[in-house]
Amino acid sequence: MRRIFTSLFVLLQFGTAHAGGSVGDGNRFAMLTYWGEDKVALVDTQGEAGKEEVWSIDVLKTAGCAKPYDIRVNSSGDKAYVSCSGNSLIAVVDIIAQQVQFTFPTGQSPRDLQLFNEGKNLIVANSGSNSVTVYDLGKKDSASLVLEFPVESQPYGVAVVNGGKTALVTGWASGDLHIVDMKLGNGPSDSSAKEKTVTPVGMLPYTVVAPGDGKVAYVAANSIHSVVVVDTDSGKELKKIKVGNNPWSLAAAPDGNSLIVTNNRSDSLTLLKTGVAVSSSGDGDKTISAGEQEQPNGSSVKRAPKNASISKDGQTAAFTDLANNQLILVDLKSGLIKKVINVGKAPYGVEFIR
Amino acid sequence: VRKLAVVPLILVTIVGCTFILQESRSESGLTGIESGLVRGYFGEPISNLSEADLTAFNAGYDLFVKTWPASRLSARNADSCVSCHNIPMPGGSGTDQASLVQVQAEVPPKNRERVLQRLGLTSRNVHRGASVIRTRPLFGLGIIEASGQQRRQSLIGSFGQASTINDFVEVALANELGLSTSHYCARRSVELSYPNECLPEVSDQQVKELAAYIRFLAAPKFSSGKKVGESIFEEIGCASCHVRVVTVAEGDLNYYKQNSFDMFSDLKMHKIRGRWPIRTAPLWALNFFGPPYMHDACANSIEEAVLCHEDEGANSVKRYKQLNVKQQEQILDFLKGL
Repeated sequence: MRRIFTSLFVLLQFGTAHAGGSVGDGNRFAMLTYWGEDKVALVDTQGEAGKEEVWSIDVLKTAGCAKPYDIRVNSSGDKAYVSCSGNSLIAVVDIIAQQVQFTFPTGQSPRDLQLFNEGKNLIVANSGSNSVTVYDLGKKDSASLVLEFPVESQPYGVAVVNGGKTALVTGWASGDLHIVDMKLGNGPSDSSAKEKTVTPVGMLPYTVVAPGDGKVAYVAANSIHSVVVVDTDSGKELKKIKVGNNPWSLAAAPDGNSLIVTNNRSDSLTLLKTGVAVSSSGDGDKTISAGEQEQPNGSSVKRAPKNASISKDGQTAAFTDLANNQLILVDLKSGLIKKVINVGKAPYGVEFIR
Repeated sequence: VRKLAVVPLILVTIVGCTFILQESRSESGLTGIESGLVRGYFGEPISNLSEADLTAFNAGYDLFVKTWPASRLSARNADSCVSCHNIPMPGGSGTDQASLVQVQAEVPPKNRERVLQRLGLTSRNVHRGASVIRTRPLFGLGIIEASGQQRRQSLIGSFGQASTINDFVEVALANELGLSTSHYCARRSVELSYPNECLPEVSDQQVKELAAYIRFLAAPKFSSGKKVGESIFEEIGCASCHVRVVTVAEGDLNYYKQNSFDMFSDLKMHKIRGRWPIRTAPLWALNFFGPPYMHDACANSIEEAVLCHEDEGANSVKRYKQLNVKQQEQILDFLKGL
């Protein structure tokens, strides 16, 4: 009974905050995907210990969405877009109603997503069909395909810069970054894409972000243990920043001045100072230990950071830990872990509702 | 039903040669988890590797994710191992169309060059009489190799066509990536009557390193607490082939000796679907490696995978269908939680 009251209280708080236009001020609630359980969840990072998960939806049972991978939340904080990597769908989750509002088909094995043009468009990297698709989200209960273009090979990461006119796509199996000029119309017939440059970045580049003004892209090149910095205009590699082992994802702070890197196999995060339109690194960069989780038998298991998100105020990073099925909150100023939250199996995607 | 289910279990126990099919610990008292042979998530090496083996593992990883330019010049299915083995991490299974391959149905499974083409790379229909085979995950394959050494049987691959991971790697390099090795070239020189120059594109050292990477990939961690589902799973006869615990007593590799693993496979060949018997697939982390499921990708859900079993699996399917909805859900929850 107490749990029910607690949940109602949190939901009321969530709803009130949302009505005010700023859900938890962008620093409190986060959406997660549980890849191993086919679930999507809302987590209150400031909730009572052990009761942080406000709700979760079995998206496979309710909407046929298998293996939810990435998740993106719109700016008003009422909708989340989930890539269903197991069966080539996007699930649109109504966060307030706690249900999947609708799904729509994509290319095969969709991975990373990005909302752009103020949330009017969604771009999807389809790793199984070597393609990228762009959708118009203008209608309430449906999405329509605007553009589809090929990318070799196995595109995983995606970002959009230049006012929605340029797509950055990582070729996971070909080890490169594709910079593609896009012209978006009303549909495939009056839209077009032209590949501008292809930059080798090292094998298994999972994620790409372009914080700030988008003139510089950062790519997590997993197999060479580096973040590769690329000029998004020329495609020229500007720098290779050695980070921890097997960096998987990157998350930029809302102000574009810093970037968190999840080093999947070295139990750490790297905080890079990026600046706006500057590919700097060095001073101010730091390595943050992801720590270990003690097991019931007294042993401990090192964390395996997967995805990350930075709160609106830029003070907290949340990252998912695949080794222990946890969401970890890190104070970015001190570099210390401030909270550990048990979540569902194989938590992949995470994003603060900002 | 419970009594009927016990009979095959007893038979398997008797015939199980050096395998110890039990729900207890191995002679050394260790389970795979405690010994560091099973790790928290996929893609990790086993934790007690020597420095030399860890170096080989890391070198093998680099080769595993490498794009091989020579592949692009040959009739190949892919130009990198991770093109297919990537779910949920390098070394995993393949779930999209491009990671399904067609194999000849009219040749014995031992034939080394069976792969015809990947699906999804061609608009042509499936070859007449061909079978579709899904990319299997490689996590824990070192345990299966060690088990094969113990049994003196070939257990590697869906058809048990290789006895060592090195042999398996060489076949995969030739068939899937179109890359030659010294053994491949030696075989070609015997098979071909005309002069043929064959220079190995992958060195013996590289084959060893690739094999080391696969051999030392840790097995998935067993995490299910769905005891009721497991009991029903045993009662309807599934556990007569999907035997929970495999214990490796002997073998060339010290790491795996005298350890027990929750594999859910008897590692024997059974006729389940299609023309040829296949090795019972381990069910560890089943939910992480699909959809699709089953060796021929016949199922888009775990329940469909249960129902896909034919021939030797038909009786268990019949019993599954006789269960009430709640019992069926308990089995599926158990399987999903592995």
